Amino acid sequence: MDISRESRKDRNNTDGLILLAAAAGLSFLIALLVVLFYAPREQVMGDVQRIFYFHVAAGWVGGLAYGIAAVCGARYLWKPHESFDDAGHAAVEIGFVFTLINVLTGSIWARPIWNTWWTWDPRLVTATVMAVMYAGYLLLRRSISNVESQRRIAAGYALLSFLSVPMTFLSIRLFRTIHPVVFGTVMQGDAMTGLSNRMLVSLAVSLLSFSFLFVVFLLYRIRLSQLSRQVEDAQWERFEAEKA
Amino acid sequence: MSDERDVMSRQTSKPGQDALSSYVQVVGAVAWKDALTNSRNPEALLVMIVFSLLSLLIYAFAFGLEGEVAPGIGAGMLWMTFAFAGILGFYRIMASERESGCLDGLLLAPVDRSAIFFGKWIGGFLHLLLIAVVLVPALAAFFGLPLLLWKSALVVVLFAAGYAALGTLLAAMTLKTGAREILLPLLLLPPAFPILLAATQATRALLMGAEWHALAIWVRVLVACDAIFLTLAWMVYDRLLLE
Amino acid sequence: MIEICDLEKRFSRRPILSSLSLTAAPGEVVLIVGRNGSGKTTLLRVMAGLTGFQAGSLTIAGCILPSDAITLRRHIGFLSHQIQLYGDLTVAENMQFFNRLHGRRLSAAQLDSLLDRVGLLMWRDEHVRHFSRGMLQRLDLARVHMAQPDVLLLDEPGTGLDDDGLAILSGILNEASGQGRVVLMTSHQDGQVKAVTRRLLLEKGSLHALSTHRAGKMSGDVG
Repeated sequence: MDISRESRKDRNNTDGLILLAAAAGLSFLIALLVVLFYAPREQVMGDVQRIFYFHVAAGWVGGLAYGIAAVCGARYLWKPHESFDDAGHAAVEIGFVFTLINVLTGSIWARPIWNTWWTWDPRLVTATVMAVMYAGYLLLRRSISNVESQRRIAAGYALLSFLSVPMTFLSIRLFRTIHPVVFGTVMQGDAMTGLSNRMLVSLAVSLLSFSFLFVVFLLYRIRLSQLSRQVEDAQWERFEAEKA
Repeated sequence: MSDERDVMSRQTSKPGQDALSSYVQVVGAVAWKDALTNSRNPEALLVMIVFSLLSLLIYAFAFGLEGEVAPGIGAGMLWMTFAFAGILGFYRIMASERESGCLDGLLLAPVDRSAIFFGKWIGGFLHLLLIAVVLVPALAAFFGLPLLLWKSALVVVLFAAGYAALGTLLAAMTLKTGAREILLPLLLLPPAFPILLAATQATRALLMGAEWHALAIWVRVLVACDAIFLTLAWMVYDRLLLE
Repeated sequence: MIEICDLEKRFSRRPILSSLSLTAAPGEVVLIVGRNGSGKTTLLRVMAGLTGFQAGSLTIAGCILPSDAITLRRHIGFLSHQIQLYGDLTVAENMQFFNRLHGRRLSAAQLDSLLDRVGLLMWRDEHVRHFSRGMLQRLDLARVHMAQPDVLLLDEPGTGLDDDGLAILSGILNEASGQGRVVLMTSHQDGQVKAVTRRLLLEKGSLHALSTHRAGKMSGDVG
C-alpha cells in the first residue's frame, strides 16, 4: 500500500468533510437562532415549548438512522460488502445518541407543562424501546469476536428490530385510543395541529439542520471505520513482512 | 459387499416437488429430533413450569392480591410470567447442537436452511404451549379468573407463534456470543413489545367480558406481527448461520 | 470430479489458503497432510460449502460453488473434526435422523448390516452419550458412509480409532474407490491408512505433492 498516495487522497476527502462539517455547524447555529428568536412564543406553554423543535428533529433523525441501518443490514445480508456494514453500524451509533436526545428532551418538556417526568405518549414510548434496541445492537456486536459473523448477525438484528418499530408504535397508539390518559396524551398531537406558519418554518429549519448534522456524523463515522481498517491492514502487512 | 446404492430408496419425483418435500422432511426431522431430546431431558421444561407457578405466587404477594383481581392485573401477571418463563426455553433451542458441536450436520442438509428454523420454531412453539397449559388454569384457579375459554387459547397460540419465532431467531443470532444468557432477554423483549402488548390487552378485554370486537383488534395485531416475524426469519435465517 | 483452481481463503485478514489448486478424479483416495493450523480443516469446509472463500473456482461433482451449494450437499459426505451425533439419541435414532435430513430411508436390515460393518451392531439401541471416542468415530464414519456419496470429505478420520477401527476405515475407503467415488481426507500424520492413492502436503496455504520418502520421514510408517 502506497502510504503517501493514500494519505494525499485522504486529505482531499478530509477537506471535503471539514467543509461539510463547518456547513452543518453553521446550519445548527442558524437553527438555534431561529428557534430561540424567530419562532413565536407559544400561547399555552410559553418558551419551554421551543424545545419541541429539537425534540422532533432528534426523533426524526433517530428514526431515519434506524431505517438506514435496517436497509444497510438487508443489503449486507443479500450481498456482503463491508461498506454497508460500516454505514449500518455508524447509523446505529449516531441514531442511538439522537434517540436518547429525543427521549430526554421529551422528558424535559413534559416536566414544566404537565408536572411529570414521563408521559405515555406512543411516540415517546416507541423512542425508548428503540433506544433499548439500539443499545442491544451495540452490545451484540461487541460480544461476537468473529468479524464476519458480527457483521451478519448485527445486520440481521438491525432488520428485525427495525421491523418491530412501526408495530410497537401502532399498537401503543391503538392502546391509547382505547384507553386515553388524562394528562400528557396528545403532547405532540396538540403541538402539531395548531402550528402557525412561523412555527412550521422553524420546525423545517430544525429538521434540516439536524439531518445535515446526522449526515456529517455518519460520514465521519464511516470514515473512521475505513481508516481503522487501513491501519489494521498496514499492521498486518508489516507483520507478514517481518515474518518472511 | 453388495452395492447398497440401488437398495436405498430415494425420492424420485419432479424437481420442484422434490425440493418442497425435502424441505418439509427436514423441518419434520429437526422437530422430531428436538422433541426426542427434550423428552429425554424434561428437567428444563419442568423448571420452566415450576418457575412460572412460583412467579404467580410472588406477584400475588407483591401486589397484595387476595380475592378478586382486577382484569388488568390478571392479564399482566399471565403475560409477564409467560414471557420470562419462555425465555428460559429459548436458551435450550440450540442447546443440543452447541453441546455436541453438531451444527455442521444440520447445515449440510440439502435444503435451504430456513427449514432448520421452522423445525426449531415448532419445538419452541410447543414448549410455550406446554407452559401455557399449566399456567393458564393455575391463574384461573388461584385468582378466580374466567380464563378457560377458547378465546384465551387463541391469544396464547398466536402469541406463542410470534414469541417462538423471535426466540428461535435470536437463539441463532446469539449462538456465537460470549454473553448469551444476559443478551438474549435484552435482545428479545423490545421487538416482542407489540405482541406482549397485544396479548395483554386481548386478555384484559376477555377478563372484562368485552365482546369479540374488542378482542379482534388485538388478535389482528398478533396475526400481523406473527406474519412479519416468520417471513423475516424465513428470508434471513440462512445467512445468519453462515460462517 | 473435484476441480479447484487458485482458491483464496482468508479469515479476517489472515490468509489461510492461497493459490490452492487441486484436481481429483473418480476412484482416487487423496490424503492431505499438514501441520496443525495449516488449513486442512478449512479446505474441507470450503469444499463442503460450510464456509465461503474470497477468490478462485470450485467445482465438485458437477456443482459450482457457491451457487450450487444446496445441490452439492446431496453429493457429499462430510466427516467433521467434531462428532456430529446427538448424545441423547440412540445409535438407531441418530442414523434415522441423518437419513431423514437427507431424504433417505434405511430399513432395519440395512441399518443392522451397516452397524455390523463398523462393529457397533450390539449398541444399536444404546444412547450415544456413553460411547468412547473410538466408538463415536466409527459411528460417525457409518453416518457419512450410509448414503454412499460421490465425494467423501473426511477430516482426520483416524482420530481415536484403534487398529480394528483403522481397518474398517480402510475397507470403506477401498469400497468407495472401487465404486468410482472420490475421497479426500486430511491428517496431521501420514501412514495410518493403506488405501490412499495420492498424498499431498498443505503448506503455506497451497498443496504440494508429497513423495513417499518424505511421507515416511514425517512419522513412523505404520501402513
